[in-house]
Amino acid sequence: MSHKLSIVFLLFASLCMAHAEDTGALFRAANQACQSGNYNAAMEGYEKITTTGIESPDVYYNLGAAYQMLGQPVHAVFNYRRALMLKPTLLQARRSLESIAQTQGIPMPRFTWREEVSSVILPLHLISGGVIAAWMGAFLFVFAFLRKRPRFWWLSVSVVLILMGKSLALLGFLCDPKVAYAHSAIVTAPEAIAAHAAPADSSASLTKLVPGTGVNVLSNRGVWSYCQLPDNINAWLPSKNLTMVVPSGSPGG
Amino acid sequence: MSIACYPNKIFAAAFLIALLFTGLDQGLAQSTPIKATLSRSTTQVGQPVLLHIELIGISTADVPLTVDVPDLDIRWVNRSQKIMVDNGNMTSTRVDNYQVTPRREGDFKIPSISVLTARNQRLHTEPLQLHVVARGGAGGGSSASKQSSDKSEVAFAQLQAAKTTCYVGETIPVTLRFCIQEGTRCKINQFPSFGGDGFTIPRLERPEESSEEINGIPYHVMTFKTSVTPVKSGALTIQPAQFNCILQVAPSNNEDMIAQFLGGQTMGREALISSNPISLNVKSPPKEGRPENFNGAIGDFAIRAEATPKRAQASEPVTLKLILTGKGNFDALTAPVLTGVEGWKTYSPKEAVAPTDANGFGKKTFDYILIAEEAKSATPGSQFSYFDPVKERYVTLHTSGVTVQAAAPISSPTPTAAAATADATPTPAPKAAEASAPKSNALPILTKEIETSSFRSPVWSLKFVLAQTLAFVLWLLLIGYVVLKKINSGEKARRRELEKEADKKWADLSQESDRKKFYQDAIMYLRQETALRTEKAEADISLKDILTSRTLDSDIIDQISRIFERNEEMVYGHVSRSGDIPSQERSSVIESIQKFHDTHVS
Repeated sequence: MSHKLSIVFLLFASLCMAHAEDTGALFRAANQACQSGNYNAAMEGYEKITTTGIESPDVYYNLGAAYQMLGQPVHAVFNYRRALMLKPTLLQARRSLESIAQTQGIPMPRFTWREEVSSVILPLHLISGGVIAAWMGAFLFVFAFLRKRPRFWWLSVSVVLILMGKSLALLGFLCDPKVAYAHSAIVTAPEAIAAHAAPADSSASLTKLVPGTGVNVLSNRGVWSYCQLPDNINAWLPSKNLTMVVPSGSPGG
Repeated sequence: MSIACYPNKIFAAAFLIALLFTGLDQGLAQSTPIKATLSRSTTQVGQPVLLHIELIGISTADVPLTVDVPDLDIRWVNRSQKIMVDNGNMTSTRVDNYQVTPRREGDFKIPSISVLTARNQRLHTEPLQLHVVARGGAGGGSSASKQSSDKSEVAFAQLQAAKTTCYVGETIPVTLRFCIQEGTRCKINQFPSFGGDGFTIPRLERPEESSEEINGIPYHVMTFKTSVTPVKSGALTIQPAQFNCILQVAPSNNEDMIAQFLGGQTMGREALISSNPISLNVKSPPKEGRPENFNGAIGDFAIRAEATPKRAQASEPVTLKLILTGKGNFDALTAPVLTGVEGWKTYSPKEAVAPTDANGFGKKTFDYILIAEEAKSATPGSQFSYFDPVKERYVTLHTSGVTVQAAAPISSPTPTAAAATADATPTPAPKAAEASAPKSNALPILTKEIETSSFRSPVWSLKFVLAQTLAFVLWLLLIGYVVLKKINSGEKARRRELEKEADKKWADLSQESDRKKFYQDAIMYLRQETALRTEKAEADISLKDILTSRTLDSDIIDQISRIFERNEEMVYGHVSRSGDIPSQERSSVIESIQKFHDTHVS
């Protein structure tokens, strides 16, 4: 029985390694194509990696760069946003995004304190550090009772550690774009689309959104999505013209 | 003295008392005020106002159903009752409501109205004044759009632009006023939108609210201050702003009488109030004298430059901040052109726009990241051109280089365009090394080993949950350990205490001469010794417990049993309870206990 199990384990491990090697090879080939100016081939290579289920900021950033070089700013914006969501400290992606927004007239929402924090330190690090500190405090608190009489400063340090750790973890959680922008989407229509006051084509048009504009999907109704636009106006947009930044997400999901 | 002697005096007293009561009654009646008020002192032709006659302390009275005033239709509408309690005193007020509808404009005097009370008293109201202005269309919350030419409507909107001739890209202050007659309740369903093709308009902020008298009618005015920026030339029209609102207005004709009877004095009506449109003549900035670096900035600006740090190490970036202030469309302003960039590696600037204040002044900053490719003593300068619509001429602003001390790079490799176009903060060398691009106009790409992540927050990942669970389990185990240790330390303390007492008892035993006390001490010692071995309390230990607590020889068992028997004989039997214990007996007992103790020790 154990012999059979070990064979299955080995097979699984070898499959995983082969998969990783394949992805690595694909990435290198796509990079080579990009460096040699063959952006179409590079784009296809990167797209292929994304279809394997690998979620990598490097791949999305390079894919964005390839699209940008191919003159497809909307796709470039889209992939830069994905890269930034995965790795908010990837300043290249942020600069490229701002550059495209400036040249294409895409409205960019002002960076909030959450983004400023996450661009300096990865939310994962904040969460991990905070959780470790909080647990250290919790253990220290119990250790303090190992003594015959718990010392005041031991208890104080442990309480401070717990509070500080929990605050850090909460800050990291709030600043994580995966949480803050879980429902963000990009207008991927070929042309500018109207934002409506009600979920009907005949309703008043509040403003127009150029392709590449980022919105936050609040809810869905049929083929319409109720969105928060960059200038904080809420309006209805056709769901078919939106693509969620999180790959598996659906507008309003 | 008999009463009959003073008939005249009695009559006089009765008369005085009667007069007093009558006077009080009259006084009370006269202190009961009758009051007449109008809901508005100014109205327009055909627009009814309400006349209220209040009778305080009177519930039954005869009021007229109509009041005859030429060109005023005054009809009784309904009656209501108000009850007020003040310091325990209850006052009832009857209110009779009349609808007053003017048929022509002018000043009217509503005469004193006479009311007959149940006590047959006739009360009179004070005369009232009503000012009636000409009627300007069917306002009063109708759903039709109304122009603002006539300011006697219940609600209207006005759109005013600071100027009607302007240039493409010029920001024109626009004021949108929404006026509602005082006393009319209005709920705006949605903030207005206006504009149309060819304009960019910022989002409307919260309006300023004030009271104003327009054509003698008091209005509540909401003023929205905003701006429009035309984006193309030609004759353009700012489309009317539309307010979708619900107006609570007084009924305007007799058909609404029933509504008055049923629900009160006002009715809610949905209304769409439109402002006037504004025509603009939008010109393109002239071609003559247009600077090369003109990018469509229209307005009046000033520029200044700052640089940090003042001293930069090799390859350390210097931030050149160009600050544009003044009036204009800041959102559309493009970055100033840098001059004298030789020897500097420059990146595209980061822009930030500060909100424009109420006077139209704004600020926009451009942060350029610069890295010296050779030793430099000043940053690049800059040029910025704009068209001044007031002076109708182009203006070019210059800034000279800001003095900085930037060291030359240690090894001066040819800078790749990759770094130049991508990361505006290239301080971390590893990141610059990660990016590479062979073509001069290519974007940098990340070529290091593929780094994987997830779109799910780490908090929801299985690893995180498992790690938290593990930590929690360990923490619980630690708590368990601490609790057990605390319990054990309590048991140890009990044992130490018992040992101490047993030692003391042993010492006392060898000194004790009284027979009875000697045996009691001996038994106490045996119990303490046994309690140290068992979980039982000292007082609960019996002879059986003592004998079974350890493996004893039959001799020792007999001797211990004899100690207990002797003690019982002394307590319950006829043996003398006092007296010294013979030394032989003492030695025998002590020897037995010593054996017992040694058994325990071994």
